[in-house]
Amino acid sequence: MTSEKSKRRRKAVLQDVFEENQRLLGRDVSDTEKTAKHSGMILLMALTIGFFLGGPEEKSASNPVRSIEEFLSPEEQVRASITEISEQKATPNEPGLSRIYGLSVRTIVIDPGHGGHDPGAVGQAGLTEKTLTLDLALRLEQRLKSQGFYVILTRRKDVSLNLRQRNKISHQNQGDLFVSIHVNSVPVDTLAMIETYYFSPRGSVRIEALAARENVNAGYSLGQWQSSLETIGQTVRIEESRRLASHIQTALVSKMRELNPTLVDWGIRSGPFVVLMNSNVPAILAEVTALSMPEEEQHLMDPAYRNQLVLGLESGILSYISEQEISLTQKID
Amino acid sequence: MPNSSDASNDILRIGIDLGTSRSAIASSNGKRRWVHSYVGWPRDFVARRMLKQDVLVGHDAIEHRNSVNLVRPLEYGVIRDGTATDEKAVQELISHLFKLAEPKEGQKIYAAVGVPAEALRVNKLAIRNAVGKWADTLMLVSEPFAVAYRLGALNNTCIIDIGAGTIDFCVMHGTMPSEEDQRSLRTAGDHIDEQLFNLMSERFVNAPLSETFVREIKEKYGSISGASNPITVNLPIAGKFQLHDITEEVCRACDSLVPAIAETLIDLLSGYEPMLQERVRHNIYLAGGGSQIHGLARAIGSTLEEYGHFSITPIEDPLFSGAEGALSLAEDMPEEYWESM
Repeated sequence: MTSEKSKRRRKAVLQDVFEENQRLLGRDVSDTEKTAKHSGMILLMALTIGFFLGGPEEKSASNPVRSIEEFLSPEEQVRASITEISEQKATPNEPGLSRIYGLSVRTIVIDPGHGGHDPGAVGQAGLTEKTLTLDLALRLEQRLKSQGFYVILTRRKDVSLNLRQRNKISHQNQGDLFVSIHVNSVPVDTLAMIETYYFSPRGSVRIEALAARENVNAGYSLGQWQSSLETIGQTVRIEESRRLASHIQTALVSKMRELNPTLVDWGIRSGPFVVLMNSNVPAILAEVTALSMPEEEQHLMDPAYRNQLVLGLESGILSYISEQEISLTQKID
Repeated sequence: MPNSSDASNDILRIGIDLGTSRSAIASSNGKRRWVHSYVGWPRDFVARRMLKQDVLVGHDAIEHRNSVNLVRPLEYGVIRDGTATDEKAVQELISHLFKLAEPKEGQKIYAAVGVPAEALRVNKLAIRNAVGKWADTLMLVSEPFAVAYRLGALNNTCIIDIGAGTIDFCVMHGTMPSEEDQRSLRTAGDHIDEQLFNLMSERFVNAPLSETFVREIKEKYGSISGASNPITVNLPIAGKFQLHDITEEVCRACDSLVPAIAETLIDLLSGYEPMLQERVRHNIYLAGGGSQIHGLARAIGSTLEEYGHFSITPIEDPLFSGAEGALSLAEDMPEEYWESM
C-alpha cells in the first residue's frame, strides 16, 4: 500500500518536473503533455494527412500567446494566489485606491532604458536596447501628446543617466505616471517574451536577485536610501503601480499577438527595483520584447512593428487612465 | 525503475551536478566522476609546450595554476554573467564532464542537470543553452529536490544542500516543491574560505597564503568549535616552515555558517502548518560538500534548541548526491516526456 502510494507520488513528481521544464521554455504544458501522451496517435494522424495531401505537413503557424495561468491546474491556481504568477490576474474591474481617492493623470513620464555608454541588451545583428527604447519612447510621446497629456522623457538622445537622475526628472516635472521601457535579453535565442514589473518592497529571492542586478549604479547614497525606504509603505502607489502594470501587460500582449503570435506572455511581476521604488507615482518597468531572439531583432528593425509596440503601451496607459475617469464620473454623479 | 530502453544501450542517461567548486556526473552506464569546476589555458607558449595541452580542466588546472590562466566559470551555482572567457570555460567544463561519462559512439544522451533552488529563469536558460550542445535532450531540476528524490525523501522532509556558492533549502511535502518551499543562501562554502583566509592572513602576516591552500585546509579539517581535535599545518613564515595550531581560525570560519542556516530554516518552516513543521523538523538532511564539516549538524540542532528538537542528519556520499539524484530522475522520467524536452 505504502509502496503504491510512493509510486504514485513519484509519478506525480516526475510529471511536475516535466511541466516545470516546459514552462521554462515558454511552452503550453497541456498541449505538450497531450503531445507526449498521444505522440503515437499524432504520428499516425500526421502520416495519414501527409499521405492524403501528398507532401510534408507544415508546422502550424498559429501558436497563440499563452498566459502563465493557462499552464496551471486548478490546485496550482489556488497556490499561485500567493505567488508572483497570480499577479498577472490583477483585474482592472477591482476598485483601485486612486479611484477611491479620485486621483487623475496629467503628466506622464517615459523613461527609455539605458543610454550613452550603457547599450543595454545587444542583438545578434547589432541592434541595441538603448536605441530601441529611445525610439519607442519618442513615438509614444507623440501619441500621448496627441491625446492631450503632458509628456516628459527622461532622455531625448543617447546619453547616460543613472537611476537617481531618472527619478529626479520625474519628481521635478511632477509626473503622475512613470513608465520605464526596456527590452529583455535571455540566453536562449528561440524565445521572445513580454513582462511588466512594478515595485514592491519584497519580491521572491529570485526577483530580488534580478532587481539587484538592475539596481547597479543606482546613484543613491545610504542616507538617501534610508529616506527612500521610508516611502515604501505607500500602499496607494504600489497598488496603482500593480494596476498600471496589469493594464500595460494585457494591452501589449494583445496588440503584439496580432503581429507575432510566438511572443510569450511572462505576466506581471513585482520586485524591489530602485527606479520604481524611488518614483513617488505609479511606476512600471516594461520589458516589451527580447533582443536575444534573432527573428525578433529583425522584426524590431521594421518601424511598423515598433509602432505596434507603442500602440500596446499607449493602449495600456489609456486603459488604466480611462478606468479612473469612469470612476471619477461615477463619483460626480 | 530505470527505463527499459536503456537495456538496448541506445540511450545514455546522465545526471549532472554543476557546482561552483566541484561538478559531478553519474550515468546509467555506472560511471561516477567529479572534477573541480576550474578551467585553465596555458599562459604562454612555454607553458603550452610544458603542459602539452591547449586547455586543462579540474584538478590539472588547479595543479598547474601558476602556468595557466585559471577560470572558475560558475558563481553561486550558475554560469557567471559576463565574459566570453567564462562562457568558453563553462563549455570546456561541460564537454569534459560528458566525456567522463564515456558515451558510446552513436548513443543518444539524455541529461538531467541540477540547478540552485532559486536560480533565475535567465540562469536556467543559460545552463540549458550550455548543456544543450552536448545532450540530445535535457531537463533542469532543483538540486536539493534531486537529492530528496534520490533519498526517497519526498514527504515531510527538508534538504539543506551546502555547496560552495549557495546553500539550498527545500521542504518536501509530497509534491514538486514550489518557490515557497525553497530558499537559497549565498553565505556558503566560499564564505568560509573567505573568513578563513582573512583570519589566517591577520595572524600569519608573512605567510604566502592562497585561496586554494585555504580551501584545501577547510575541506580536510573543516570543523565546528568544540568538535575538533587540534588542527595543525606546516606553514612557511618568512621562508621558514613551522607547525602552527590553526584550530581556532578553522572553527571560527566554519561556525559562521551556523546562524545563517538556523535562521533560514526557521524562517522557511514557520510558513507551514504546525503539523507539517513538527514532522519536517525530525527529517532534516544535510547534503553537499559543506555537510562534511565536522559537528555541523549538531551545532545547527543546538542553535535551534529554543524552538524544540530537530533531527538533522548528514547524508552519505554527499559529493555525488546531486548527480545521483539527477540521474535517478533521468532514469525514471518516462520516454514520452524526454521526447518533448
